[in-house]
Amino acid sequence: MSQTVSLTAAWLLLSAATLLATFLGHQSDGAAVRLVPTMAAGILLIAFVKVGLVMAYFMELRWAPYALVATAAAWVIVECSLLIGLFAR
Amino acid sequence: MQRAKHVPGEVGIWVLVFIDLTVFGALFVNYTWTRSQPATGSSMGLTGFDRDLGCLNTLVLLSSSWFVAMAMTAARGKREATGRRFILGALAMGAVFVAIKAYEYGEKFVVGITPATNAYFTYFFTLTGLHLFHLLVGMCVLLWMRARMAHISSNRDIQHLESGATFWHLVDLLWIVIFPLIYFL
Repeated sequence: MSQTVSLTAAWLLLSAATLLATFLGHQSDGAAVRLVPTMAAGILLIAFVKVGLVMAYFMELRWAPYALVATAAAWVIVECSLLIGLFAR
Repeated sequence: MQRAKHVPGEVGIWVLVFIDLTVFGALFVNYTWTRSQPATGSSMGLTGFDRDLGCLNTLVLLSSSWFVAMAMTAARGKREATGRRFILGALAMGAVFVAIKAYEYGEKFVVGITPATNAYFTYFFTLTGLHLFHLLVGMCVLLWMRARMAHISSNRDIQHLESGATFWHLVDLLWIVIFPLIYFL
């Protein structure tokens, strides 16, 4: 797959995920209603999958040495787990 | 396409990336912790928010990142003029983001909402303001990249451009987390 095609595919996927998260988020529309924890976890999970895609395709970490990839992946996993854990309390 | 493994950009830019990720990461956890507290979280209203504007700004930044990534592909292929046009596209997206954010801030200020209104708006203005500052710095970096793209003569030049591109993608990446945290959760 050429670089142009893979970058465009990543952009389309990221945009679709954004629209999906927005649709899910609108389920709590109407006022200051907090999302139920499972919905909040789903939206956060989508966000961190998007972060992973940006790192891999746009920041080119898929071509990077393992140490750099592992450090970035560690941030994504720790941050995602902490935020979902706090919302699920 | 299989490429040899290499660090995109200079090592220094990745030090900056991880410092920023740590600082913003701590702010995200702090915000989420505060919201999860019954005493303070329930008083932090999410009212008066145009979530579609937040979504639009996310799509705008994702598009800007695509423009920058395409510019890097063009630069490596020695298509400097194409690369410069892609950077211009990214700059335009950055300007749209700033315009939407200015409109959003204006909407709040007009009805008397400031960072001092409540804890939620303190976080709202801190996170989005800090991000906006990064974006404005990023737009200066894009201008520099556009000028630099006209004079590519070695791999070192490509490496400098990669550093600029990495910073811009960081701006996009941070917004991807800020958007659901501030607008939905």
